[in-house]
Amino acid sequence: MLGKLIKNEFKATAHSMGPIYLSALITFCVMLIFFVIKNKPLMVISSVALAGICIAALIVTLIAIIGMFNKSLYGNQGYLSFTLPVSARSLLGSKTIVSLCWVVISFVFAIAVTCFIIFYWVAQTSESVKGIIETVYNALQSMQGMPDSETAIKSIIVILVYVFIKALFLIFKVSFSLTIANTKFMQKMNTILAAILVYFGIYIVLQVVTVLSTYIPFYVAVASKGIALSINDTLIGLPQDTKLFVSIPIVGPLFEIVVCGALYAITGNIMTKHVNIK
Amino acid sequence: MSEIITVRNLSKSYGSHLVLDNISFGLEEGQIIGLLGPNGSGKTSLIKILVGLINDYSGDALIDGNRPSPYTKSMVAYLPEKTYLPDWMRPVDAIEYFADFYVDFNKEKAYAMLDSFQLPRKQTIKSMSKGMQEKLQLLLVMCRNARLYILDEPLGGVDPAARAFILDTIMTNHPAGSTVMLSTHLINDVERIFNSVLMIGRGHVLLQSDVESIRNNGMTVEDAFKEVFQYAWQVD
Repeated sequence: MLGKLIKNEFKATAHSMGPIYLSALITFCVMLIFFVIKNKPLMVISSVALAGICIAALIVTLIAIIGMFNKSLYGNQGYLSFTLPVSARSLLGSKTIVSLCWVVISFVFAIAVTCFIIFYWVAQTSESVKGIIETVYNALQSMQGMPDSETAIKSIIVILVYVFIKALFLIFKVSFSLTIANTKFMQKMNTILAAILVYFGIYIVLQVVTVLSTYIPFYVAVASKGIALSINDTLIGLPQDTKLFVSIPIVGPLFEIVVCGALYAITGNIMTKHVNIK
Repeated sequence: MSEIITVRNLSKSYGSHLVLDNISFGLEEGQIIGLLGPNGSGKTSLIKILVGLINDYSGDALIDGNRPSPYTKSMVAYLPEKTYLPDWMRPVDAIEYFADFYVDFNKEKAYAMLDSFQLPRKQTIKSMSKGMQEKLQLLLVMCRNARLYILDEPLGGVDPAARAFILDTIMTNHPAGSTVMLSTHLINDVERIFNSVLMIGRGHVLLQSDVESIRNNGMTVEDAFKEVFQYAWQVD
């Protein structure tokens, strides 16, 4: 059933996300036409438009995630969702997975658009694709302190894992807040207002814990000679002259993973035992 | 016959307002049951508890001996009084959706009924009239081969011709041996189809009887309803 729920969630959310990515595709084609006809003012306008669409995609993703939980679970569509022969945890799990996919897609899209715009403008000075790549590569190499390609890939992976945990944490906080807002204790309030209050309540509590966690100075560090654990900028197991590129705290994200599990269990329980569909 | 619905000491309140006050009753399988009561008598709350849309209550509401769960939801076909399909869906999407989740859903029958109801297959729900949406929801529910049909005010707010159409659709499409629970306050139109009735008001079960017993007392269901609910119009 989880697979069917995920399939149908994608179908439902594609209706709000689809137009954004379609408009990006059209803008992309228009930019290529302007490039061929070498119309600089139109190239500037279309580049700005694509960057704007990229920002819009991030905003629409967040709105779609909120809508996926609020409208399809606790609005009129809840009469459909909550009477399906599936558990509340399956409903929550499918929506979380689909939300996470859309967040990842919007991040990949943002990175792709940034790279495309850089290449688009560099392309004016080079005549071949190889020339464009070489120009960009040389520009990067000339920047001081740039890591080699292997270290760069490791750094990107560590950053992506960190962003993935943050995105998952955000989704669980949103779903938990909206679920609490639909229990009998808060049903007299406006749902969105109640959800915002709950969200900031959790945010403040978790922020305090995050600040406290900084007193435990364990980090994952990507350095020129590999990945290592670091304590207070001291790399463990690597020579002290090793150059440090990326340093990500460990305790905060570990705590967030634990909270994600707790929020999933608590939200599922509240959905099963305490939520009333209006 | 076994009980398909068992309610024991069920209470539900909204704040200080008690809508169901420690009610208990059982309903046998294979009947067409009228859940009757004036507006605000707690019919919808009772139904929402049975189908798993209201979860904070005390007491037991059991379907085939089980509390509302994925198992009970797989055997109950529920028609709410609200329109609940997402705006973007078209009838074909709704049929595929039901076919995905309900193993007892008859897709071929649904497409045939869609044509006979003259509902366009590829028109979005958003652009449909309320009447068309209600027809589609009725179709989706009645194309299931369920053990229990719970229909909440399917006749509310529609004209007499539509009422006859809805009743006819329910009567011709529910499988033999299944149970139909239909809530309404428009008794005159439907009393001929009921085998038994359950009247609730002021949070209590005021009458549970088979229709034959009511008729043996020289009354119609409507007469019994008027007698039971006289209080609603009395000045204290």
